[in-house]
Amino acid sequence: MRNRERVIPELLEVLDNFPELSLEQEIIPQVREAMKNGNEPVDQTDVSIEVIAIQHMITKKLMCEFINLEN
Amino acid sequence: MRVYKPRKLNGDLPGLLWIHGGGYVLGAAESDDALCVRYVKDIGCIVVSVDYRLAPEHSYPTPLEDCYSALCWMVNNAELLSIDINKIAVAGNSAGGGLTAALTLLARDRKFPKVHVQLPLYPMIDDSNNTPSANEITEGMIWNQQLNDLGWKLYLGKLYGSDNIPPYAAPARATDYSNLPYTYTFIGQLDPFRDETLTYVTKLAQAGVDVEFHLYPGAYHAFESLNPHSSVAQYAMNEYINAIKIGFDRISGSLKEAKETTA
Repeated sequence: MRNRERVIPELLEVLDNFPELSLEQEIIPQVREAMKNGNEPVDQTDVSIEVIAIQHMITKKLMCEFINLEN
Repeated sequence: MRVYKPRKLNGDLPGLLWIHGGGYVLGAAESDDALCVRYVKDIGCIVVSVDYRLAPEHSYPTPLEDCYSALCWMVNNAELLSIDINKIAVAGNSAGGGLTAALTLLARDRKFPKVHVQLPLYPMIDDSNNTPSANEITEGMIWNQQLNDLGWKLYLGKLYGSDNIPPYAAPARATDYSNLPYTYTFIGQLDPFRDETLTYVTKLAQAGVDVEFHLYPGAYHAFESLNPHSSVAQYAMNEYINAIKIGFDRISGSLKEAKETTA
């Protein structure tokens, strides 16, 4: 492949071993899961990580529209 | 959302909203923990990383509106988060770069929040998928024209292929790039997004936006993320992290100048 020949040597190994991605709808959940499994724990000595959930604006908008319809 | 803060805080810090990549279909905020921790340490900022909803379950505009909600939440809760609202940056890679470019357009047009620095890194912004670089990278190479077409199809949903695609969905379609924040971006020369990025930075420059750009020969899509120990990746990462610092320093300079003028 001509493009591969243009890649700088230090980037070749990862390219050659990278699994071919697929975005076929039926396998997307599996791809997402596989990507998550590759996560490594992170050192939190100096930095804290907090998980926060906010109500999404678009959900609120849809809820308002729904309430208006009800009224 | 995930919020990354230094355990020892002395006053307010700049705020950085990070948007992960994944073709609008894949990826999770959690996967970028190490990267966001590095931003906190190297830049000296508070990072908010948004876990936006993904296509195809949630097509446009949901992912973008989620990012907008996160940006508003970050600014509205700045005091609680110890964020200086005069120093707000938005950054992301690939689809996250596309969402970054879209979000700064949206925030500009909605007149809130004010974004001071943006880093749409190798951004996915052109749904035409028909540039010379997209036509050049048609297979393999991590991300290519074929995958790109699927990504856009899933992200745009019913809009895909129509003429009514708003610039907030595909920022390459914007006609007004004025009044956007100081921008830094980079891309590998073997990335299908090369030409849309070149066009984007050209249009920003022509619109009077301060923009910095780096093209890496011999590098493919997301090379810095996939090869973090390579010298080219370290160079690219150091450079863009430094660009965020420079972006914040520029604001400090402007604020200082404004204070001196009014004194």
